[in-house]
Amino acid sequence: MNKTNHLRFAYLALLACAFPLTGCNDSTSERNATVQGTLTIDGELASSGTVTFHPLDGGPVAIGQVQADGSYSLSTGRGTADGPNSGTVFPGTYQVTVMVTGAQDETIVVGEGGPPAGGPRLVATKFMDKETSGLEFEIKSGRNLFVLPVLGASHDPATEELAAESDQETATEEEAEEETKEGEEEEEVAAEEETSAEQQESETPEKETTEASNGSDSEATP
Amino acid sequence: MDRAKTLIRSAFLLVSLALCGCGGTYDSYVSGVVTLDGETLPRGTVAFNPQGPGSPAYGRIEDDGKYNIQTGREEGLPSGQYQVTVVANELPQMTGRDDGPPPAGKPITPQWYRSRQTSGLDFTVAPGSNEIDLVLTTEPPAGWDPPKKKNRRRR
Repeated sequence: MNKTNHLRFAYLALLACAFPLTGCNDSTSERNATVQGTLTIDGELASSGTVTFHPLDGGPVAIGQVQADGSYSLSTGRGTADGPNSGTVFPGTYQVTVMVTGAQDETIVVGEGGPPAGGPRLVATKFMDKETSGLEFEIKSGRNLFVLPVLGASHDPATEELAAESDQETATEEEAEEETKEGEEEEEVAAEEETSAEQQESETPEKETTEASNGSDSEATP
Repeated sequence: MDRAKTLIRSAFLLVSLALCGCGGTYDSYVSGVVTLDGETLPRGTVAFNPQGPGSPAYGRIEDDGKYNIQTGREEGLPSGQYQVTVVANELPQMTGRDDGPPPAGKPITPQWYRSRQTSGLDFTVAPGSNEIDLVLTTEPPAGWDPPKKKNRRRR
């Protein structure tokens, strides 16, 4: 008689443990990970902004405010006994979005008597959408460190096209000059065959300028 | 017997807590001054990229050219071999027009310092304090071939 009761109790307890809401300590649902890291934009440390880690299989997002030194640490914003913002997150796979706005230009006003427009967006739009940011991380129990290298707003496809158009409109003279210069250069290079062969060899490693660490696009803004 | 066990456990816990946390997570510290052609840089970012596995550690260049490396939020970095990169851009020009994000600021640092393969800045970070000044020059390194500017015209 006693044994049957115990068994029933055991089954019930097992069932209860299947639901995390009961607070059963199942290690896979324990919020025991901490995440910190750094945000860089075009290779330079950010000084403000927000990073959001979206769990792949649903659940609370974890948010980090970027500090003046470019660092961030995550919290899920769920209250615990420690305080309103707990600095731990659930382990798992997360997709990241980043948003950074620059200092407000107070001369821009939305309307009569309206508030000044917010500061300009400093990151490329693709980083604001978790499906396109390309930033996905596996958060493990314990300490985690993730560097987030993102591209600046000048890398938006629309902006790059606009820049290309304005370049063509205003710099046609420059291009004509360049063309004649390049023509001359090509003649010189052809004459010195050895040097050009060397140049081609050294070009290949440099093509990999997009580094996760400090890579900014090889496209230098004129 | 139980009390003894509890005491031992607590002692162990205290010791572990003391070892991890107090005195910093990392065994090395790096700071220094960045100059370009002899003049201190007023802004920018230094990155220490580890030769082995691990994340890069960063330091912001202050207006006096000084930088101090931290990993994430914490001071310092693990000792070891590093390839350093330096990126500094002018502040973006505020156009005063409400037509979207301002164009990125012009680069101050030469392009080769932006990539670990071409920067030529290799350093060993020893445990403890390291003073590493980064002396940059606008003189290209030997064999430097600037990547072709992306022409808007298709050839």
